[in-house]
Amino acid sequence: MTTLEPEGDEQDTNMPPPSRRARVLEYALALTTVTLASGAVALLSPFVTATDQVMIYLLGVIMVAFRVRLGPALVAALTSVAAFGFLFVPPRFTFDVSEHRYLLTFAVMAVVGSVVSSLGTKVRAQALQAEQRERRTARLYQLATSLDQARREAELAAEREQLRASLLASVSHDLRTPLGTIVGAVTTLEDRGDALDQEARDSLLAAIHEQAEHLSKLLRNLLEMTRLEGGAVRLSRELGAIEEPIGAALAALRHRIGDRQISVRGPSEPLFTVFDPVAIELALSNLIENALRHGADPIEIEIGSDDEHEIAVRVRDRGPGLAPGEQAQVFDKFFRGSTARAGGAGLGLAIVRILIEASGGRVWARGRDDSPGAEFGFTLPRVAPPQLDGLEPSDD
Amino acid sequence: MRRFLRTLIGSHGYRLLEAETGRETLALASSHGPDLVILDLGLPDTDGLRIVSELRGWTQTPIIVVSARGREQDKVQALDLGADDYLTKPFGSQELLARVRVALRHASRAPGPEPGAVFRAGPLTVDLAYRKVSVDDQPIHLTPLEYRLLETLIEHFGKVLTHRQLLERVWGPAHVDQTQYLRVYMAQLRRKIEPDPARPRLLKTETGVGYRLEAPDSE
Repeated sequence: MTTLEPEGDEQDTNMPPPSRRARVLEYALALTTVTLASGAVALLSPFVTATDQVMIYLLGVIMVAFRVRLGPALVAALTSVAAFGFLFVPPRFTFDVSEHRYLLTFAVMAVVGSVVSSLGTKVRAQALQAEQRERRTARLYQLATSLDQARREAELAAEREQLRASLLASVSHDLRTPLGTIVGAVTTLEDRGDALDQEARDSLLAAIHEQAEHLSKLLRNLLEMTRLEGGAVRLSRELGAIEEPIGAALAALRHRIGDRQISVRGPSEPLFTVFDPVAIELALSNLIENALRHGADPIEIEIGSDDEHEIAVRVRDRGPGLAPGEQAQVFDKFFRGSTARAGGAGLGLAIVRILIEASGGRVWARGRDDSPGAEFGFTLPRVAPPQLDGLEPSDD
Repeated sequence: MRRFLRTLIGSHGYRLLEAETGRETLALASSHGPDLVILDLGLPDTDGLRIVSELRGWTQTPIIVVSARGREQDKVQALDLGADDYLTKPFGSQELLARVRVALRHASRAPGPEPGAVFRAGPLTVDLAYRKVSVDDQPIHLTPLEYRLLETLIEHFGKVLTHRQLLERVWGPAHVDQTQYLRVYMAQLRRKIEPDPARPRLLKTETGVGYRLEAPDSE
């Protein structure tokens, strides 16, 4: 943090020396003022005493002296006295040099003029100083803030770079691991295929299939996340029954599900919401895969509506559950829970949150009340199905 | 992709003709009159949808379009333009063969419902002549619209139908945008026919595209 200079008693006023023109003007001003004062006195002379006449000239000298340097101020004083003596002291319009009493008048005027002049000069100098100081202070402050900002931005950028580098490393590892298995299995089949028995070959083929599906899911999530972060998420809004994307997600994942125990429970009546079916199916796929990967059977999907305004979908498993404190974090990008098995890229749940929140719902993760394991859930706004009266043809 | 298709298709007794551009596709289609066309919608140099509509201008040969995930709009448009079915990449060989079989089966039959036939799939039995429906041999009652919806799906058994196509056939061309009715009716139909409406075995939801009546465990 830069320090400001201590403010000393600065004699250096940085006042520019007056130009020749300015000096001439000051004298001109002095003479003009005296002329004006003379005019004023001339106008008022029938009504005022001689003392007051001098006062008018004195006023003129004060007004001029405040705005000019010493020289013109003294000139104003001198010419005031001369004008007064010449114009108004009888015999008028003569310079009677023997009038010594006006010497005192002149002396007083001169002193007043010089005092006022120096006062005026000082005031202007101080004002200029103050202005300069203020400007300097403002400049220093600006400099300090912009340095601070630059430093902070540099820190943030460095942090971001570090984060990106580590994420890139993590993601590339997640993508290369299944590829490694695939290439390994394929090359084994190519080189040694004949020497392997059916069981070994089937096992290798199954591994290739499984890893390829896993890779497919990782890529899908990466692309989806890039798409979501790239710009406005534009989801369609259509009426739909929540059971449809659930059924579609389970059907699409049937290979992954295999023999695992997954069941769906819901009310007898269909529950409707307004959503983007593709987005919600993706969210459900990620939740189901999360349960398959990190949870244990039996996995239950429950559709419910606790009140009339919301549909809730809960995916419950019997696995190790969540570590305390991870309930909110688990939906963060690239988060790996402490109970999680390796292999996920950490994007699936983050995508779930983004999609559900963009659809007007909320997500949560918590432990189960009734048994060990985790519950992941989301809500969507519930809507009433449209009225169907009058749609059926009248003759049944 | 083509290598995989070549091997797979060839191994099932079909012959594969390959084209790399849209123009080649149209040329091959017109010169050889294939029994089925598999068209990748994602080719950068061709507008797959244009190919579909051009082909449909002069041939009814079945078209299966191939597209990536997230391109549901493309699939729907292709289907509404006359494609018969679709596949989403990455897909497995079983899925491909199932679609091919269904497409060829429908192509070889006359259009329209078969009068007097009884349709059976899994626990579902439908007497199309008497309009009687039963599940596990228990008769169930369907409203006229529910029946018409089921009948349309049976007519296209195994093939996908877009929301628009279903709405048009069941409710009429004036209602092709009212997907909310379709949703409600499909939910009702599922409840009457499927033991587990959230995990249907017959009445499958093709997310973002439409619905399909499928043989149980067909893949």
